[in-house]
Amino acid sequence: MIDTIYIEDEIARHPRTQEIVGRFPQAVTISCQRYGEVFNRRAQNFRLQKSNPALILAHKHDGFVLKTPAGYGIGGQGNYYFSHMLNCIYDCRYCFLQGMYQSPHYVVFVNYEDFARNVQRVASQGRGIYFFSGYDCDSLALDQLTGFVDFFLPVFARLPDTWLELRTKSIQIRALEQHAPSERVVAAFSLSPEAVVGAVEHQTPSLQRRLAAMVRLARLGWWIGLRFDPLLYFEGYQSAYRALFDVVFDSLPPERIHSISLGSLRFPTAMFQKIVRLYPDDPVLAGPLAAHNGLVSYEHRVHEELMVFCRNELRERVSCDKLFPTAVADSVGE
Amino acid sequence: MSSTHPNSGTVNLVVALADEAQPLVDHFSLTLEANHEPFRVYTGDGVRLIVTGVGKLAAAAAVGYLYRWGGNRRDEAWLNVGIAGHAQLPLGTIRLAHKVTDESSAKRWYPPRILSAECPSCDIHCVDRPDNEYLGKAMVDMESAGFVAAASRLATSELVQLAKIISDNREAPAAQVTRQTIRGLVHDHVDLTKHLMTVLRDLSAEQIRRAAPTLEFNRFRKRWHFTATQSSQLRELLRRWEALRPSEPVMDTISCQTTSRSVLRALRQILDETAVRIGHE
Repeated sequence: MIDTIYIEDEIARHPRTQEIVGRFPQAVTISCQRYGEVFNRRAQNFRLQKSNPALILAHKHDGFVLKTPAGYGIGGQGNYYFSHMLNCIYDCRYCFLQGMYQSPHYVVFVNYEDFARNVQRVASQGRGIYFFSGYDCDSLALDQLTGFVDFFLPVFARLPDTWLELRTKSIQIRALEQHAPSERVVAAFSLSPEAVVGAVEHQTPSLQRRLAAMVRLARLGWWIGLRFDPLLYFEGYQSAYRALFDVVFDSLPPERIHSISLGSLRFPTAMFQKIVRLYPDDPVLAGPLAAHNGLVSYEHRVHEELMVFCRNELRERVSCDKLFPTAVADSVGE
Repeated sequence: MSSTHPNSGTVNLVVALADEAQPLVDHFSLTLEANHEPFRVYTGDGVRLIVTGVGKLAAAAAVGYLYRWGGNRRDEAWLNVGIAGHAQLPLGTIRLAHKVTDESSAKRWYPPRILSAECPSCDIHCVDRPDNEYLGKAMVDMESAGFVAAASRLATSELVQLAKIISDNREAPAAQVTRQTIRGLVHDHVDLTKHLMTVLRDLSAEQIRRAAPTLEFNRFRKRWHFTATQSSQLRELLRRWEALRPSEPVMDTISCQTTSRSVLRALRQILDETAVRIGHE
């Protein structure tokens, strides 16, 4: 429950601001000039604030659409991401956002029209371009609040040969259910074994509920993306991932699977150090990790063992052309 | 000098006036420190209190003074308690501050609302001279900007909070406020103040625990000589040990080692062979 909303003066009267604020009549609203006055300042503690994050409504001025890091993609000719929102309502211990930002507040940029204009501009410069909306946030978790799907689906429907990936751990699919399925929108679900969901992905919907949402969308005709990222190395990981793959592929109609990506646990080194300071006693952060070239990831032997096992398991269940392993040197995403 | 235990949380109370301080000193049985120039400092169990005098510069100076006096600890909490004016709020109302604006410089601070469940909050404007106009919608005082500007440099912003009690409003202007009124207002909210302090102190303690080297770290360093680089490696290995083998005494396992190098090697080897367990309690 959001009890504090910071609002930039510039967008205080924006209709989207008013609509969002109207959903929280009990919340305290606090005006600010720029969201940076509140968000991500030095001397803030992500963990202390995470128990009660605030909502920040802001205006994005630039950097609407950015290239994804090399290797981040699912087969597109060009890969870009855009973030109408920063941060996530979930509390996954491996999430790089807790190391990237000092503050867990949810920032929503309400000027969607500017994002749309920039998406259109970039899309017009090439073909087969993929846009990812879940890099700095969960695409759907707060959709009932942000109205992201209702706004952006029609934008992408008008763009030829341009794809949108909505990446999520949530089960907030109501807006998607109310739209006709798009052939160029992928509802990509991040999935982990139930043990990981319970112990590491705090406050997320259970695997079973995610599967149910995914299956429902697939039956409605939506493309489904499967994101096994990050893969975690732990005692009994083989049986846990095998059981996960079994239940996923037993549930989903194979013809609606758009793509499958997988990557092992990794962090930019500086972010890892920050996260460890927040959660020094978390086992996920104490495993066989090593720093190399600015990234902290599993030691080579462990990484190979984990990736080979999961890749082989997946190859037994799905066509190779749908499989997109993420190299360890590639960057991270939510 | 401080009577607070170094590993438990500490709350630094910052008040402008002796009359604001007295009910808190009485309630918490605080003791005036003997050497109290240029500021009066009182101490008690997990609490320090400083009387700053009027104005934001005095408040900022006092915060800096208390920080040094308390041993330069960045994991302590800071709570500014005092009276403030407001146009409409009834006398005796207590509010936390969620936005502090320095009227003269227009600088702003936003104390995080981590205590929102305990007490309502509103804006506060810090003025250089007493404001008898009561025009705005914010509380008005003369110390908040100095307090928050200084304390925010010395602690994470969640641990810097302000609680203000309305002493005057449009109907009952500041001229009517007496020393007795001030004591009474603070006294009436001493229980809530205590509760706020408890929450802040717990958060401070949590910060201390998380940042502190483990007991084992100090024991290891007493037993073997570690270089600076090795100390850093040791700290990281002991962190991993706590996370992966929390119920096993590390010193017992490693005590047969003779050199710091062999200690690190043995720790690393054991940890590399330790399975990461997820979902097991």
